[in-house]
Amino acid sequence: MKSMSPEIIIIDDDPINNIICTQQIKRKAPDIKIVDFISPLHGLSYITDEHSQRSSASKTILLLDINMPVMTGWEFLDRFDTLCIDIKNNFMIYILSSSFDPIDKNGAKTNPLVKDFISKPLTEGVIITLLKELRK
Amino acid sequence: MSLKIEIIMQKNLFHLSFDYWEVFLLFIIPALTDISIFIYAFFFLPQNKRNKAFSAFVLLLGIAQALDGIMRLSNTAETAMEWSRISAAPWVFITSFGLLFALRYTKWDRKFSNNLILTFLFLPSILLEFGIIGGLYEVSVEKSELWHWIANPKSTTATNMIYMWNTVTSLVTFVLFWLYYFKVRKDENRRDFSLLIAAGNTIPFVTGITSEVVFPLVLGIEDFPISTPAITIFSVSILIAIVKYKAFDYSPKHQWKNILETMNEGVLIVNNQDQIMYANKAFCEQTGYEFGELKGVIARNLLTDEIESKKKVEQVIKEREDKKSSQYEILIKTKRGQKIWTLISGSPYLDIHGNVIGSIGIHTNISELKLANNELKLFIYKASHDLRGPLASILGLTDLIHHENDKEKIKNYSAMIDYSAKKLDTVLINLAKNMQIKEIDRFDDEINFGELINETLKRFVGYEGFQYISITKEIMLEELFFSNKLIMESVFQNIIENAIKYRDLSFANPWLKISISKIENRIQIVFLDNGIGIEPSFQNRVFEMYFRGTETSKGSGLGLYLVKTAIDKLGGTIEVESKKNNGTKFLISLPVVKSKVI
Repeated sequence: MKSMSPEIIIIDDDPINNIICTQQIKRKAPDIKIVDFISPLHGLSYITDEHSQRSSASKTILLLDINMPVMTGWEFLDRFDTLCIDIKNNFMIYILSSSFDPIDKNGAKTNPLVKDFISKPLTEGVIITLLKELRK
Repeated sequence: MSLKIEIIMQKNLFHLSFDYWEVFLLFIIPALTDISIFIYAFFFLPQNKRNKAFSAFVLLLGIAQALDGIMRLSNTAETAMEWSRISAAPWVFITSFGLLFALRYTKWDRKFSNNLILTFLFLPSILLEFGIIGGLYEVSVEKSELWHWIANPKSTTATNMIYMWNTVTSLVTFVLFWLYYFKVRKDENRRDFSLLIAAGNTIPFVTGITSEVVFPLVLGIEDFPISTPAITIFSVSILIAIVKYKAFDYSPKHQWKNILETMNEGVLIVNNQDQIMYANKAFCEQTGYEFGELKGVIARNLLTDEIESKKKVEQVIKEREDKKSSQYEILIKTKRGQKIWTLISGSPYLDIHGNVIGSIGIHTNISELKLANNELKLFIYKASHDLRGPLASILGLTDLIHHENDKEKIKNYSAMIDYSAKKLDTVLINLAKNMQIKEIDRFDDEINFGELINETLKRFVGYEGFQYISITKEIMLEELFFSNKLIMESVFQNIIENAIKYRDLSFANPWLKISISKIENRIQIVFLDNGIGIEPSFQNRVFEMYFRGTETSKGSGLGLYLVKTAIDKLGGTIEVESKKNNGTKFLISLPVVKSKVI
């Protein structure tokens, strides 16, 4: 069994957004583990590699962008859905996007894997709610 | 015996002398004027109910005036008597037609059915006419001081009834004109001519009363014949109203067929069973059918394909039965099977009794509008990512700076703000360029490809990676090429930029080869590089707005979309051939525009 501490994963092709998210979360929770990827494929292989050995005791938050080259957030979720149920149950996935296209918002609402839609930029208030969810 | 009388009568008819200039002045000139107005009204004005009533009125008036004039030229009492009888004939109809015109001109005739009006106006006229033919109209002939002989009607029941009839109809006409004037006097367009017509009617009306009643009874002056000629003032005033004040020009009715045939919108009339009864030229052009192919066909079966559109039409037909108008959009199938979005403004089609006998629809092709709307929608939502993305980053970064004390970190964040702001700027500039390209309509710049490439390359000095790539050009073109310089620059700029950005960093010598040649009357431009290439599954998507094909892409996803817009504008084609990690080839083919002759 590996680390039991809660974790936040960020997948967004925009490195600046990943820096902003990491720094903002660190401000509120300095000891939390944050991993970020600009490639959804790399993110996916990280999840399959690391999380298959995890216990279900700790939760993980995934902040996922939609508009990414090569693989969109939705395509990522399709691939994620094929992972084993133990991994999936550990995850709370939030869409983090700057889009105000209703298709994206509705997609986030109707996708059973997605918990909610968060509009960029990630703010303090949202982080506090996320951390509460994580520590439940 | 009767034959003999007829001959005598005919002989009597022409016992005329033409030495009275007053007759010409008072009768023949007005008569000729009225007949001229008749010719104008009947042959040159559009034929509708109102103008027909007016034409009949002036024609009969002209004839009556002429007959009255001829009577006054009579040398014998018999002649005068014959002409007097003949001249009475038109009169019973003149005032009826005058009133009919007044009713149609004021549009108050719509309150009654046409048959009712015609019966009330012309049944008395016809009966009185029979009275005249039957000899009930009696005249007394006497020697006049002014003329040779004149005939005056005797006061019999028949003549009194004729007089009564003329007076009543004239009075009603007079009242109608003034009522109409008071009704429309605040309407600038109708004020002047309605006053003119009312006044034009009043003059003969007052003159008639004066000369027929006041002069003989009060002043004792008999036979001062100005009432008949004065009516010409009325017909002339109507003529002026028509010609000068364009009184009837703006009534759409007389032109509706012409308007329907020349308008850009398609017009379709169907009956209650949705069978096509009428289609104008524009409708036939829109759908590609001849009217012969459309007539009698069930419109929704022929013109719609989709269940949704058919349902919409069925719903609309129900609305029409309740006399409701409405606007709706459906997909219409043309003869060639093409589908066009059409906006239909439909109204119930009524018969004269107000019953719904069908539906009339104005059809506007809104396919282009729909396309533009969709593009706009796509643009706004897509823009939310590409415009809001960097903006959200800037907001996030400023928030971080607020909570940061470390100077180095703050410096770092400001650099990121700078980067995000520039990215935003690039997106906006590219969108503006795209708009500019779409609006270009001039293609007569002489294009010197050598110069064009050199100028474009100059702009890349200092651009990251530009110094590492070697760019060669090969121009095999002997004649001049004309196009739009702005568009051509945009094409070269974006493809060269991509070649620099997506060069293969593992290669020591990245290169781009540009070659331009003429093949079979078309200009062919080839960009070949040894860059990272495009994955096969993305190749048909690289020209899409905001599409980005690699994870290393820092671009806006607009570059090749701009190129595609530009090439489309020039009527050319662009193809891409590439293998992942094995270079990219863009092949552009442009038609030769011969816009300038030197």
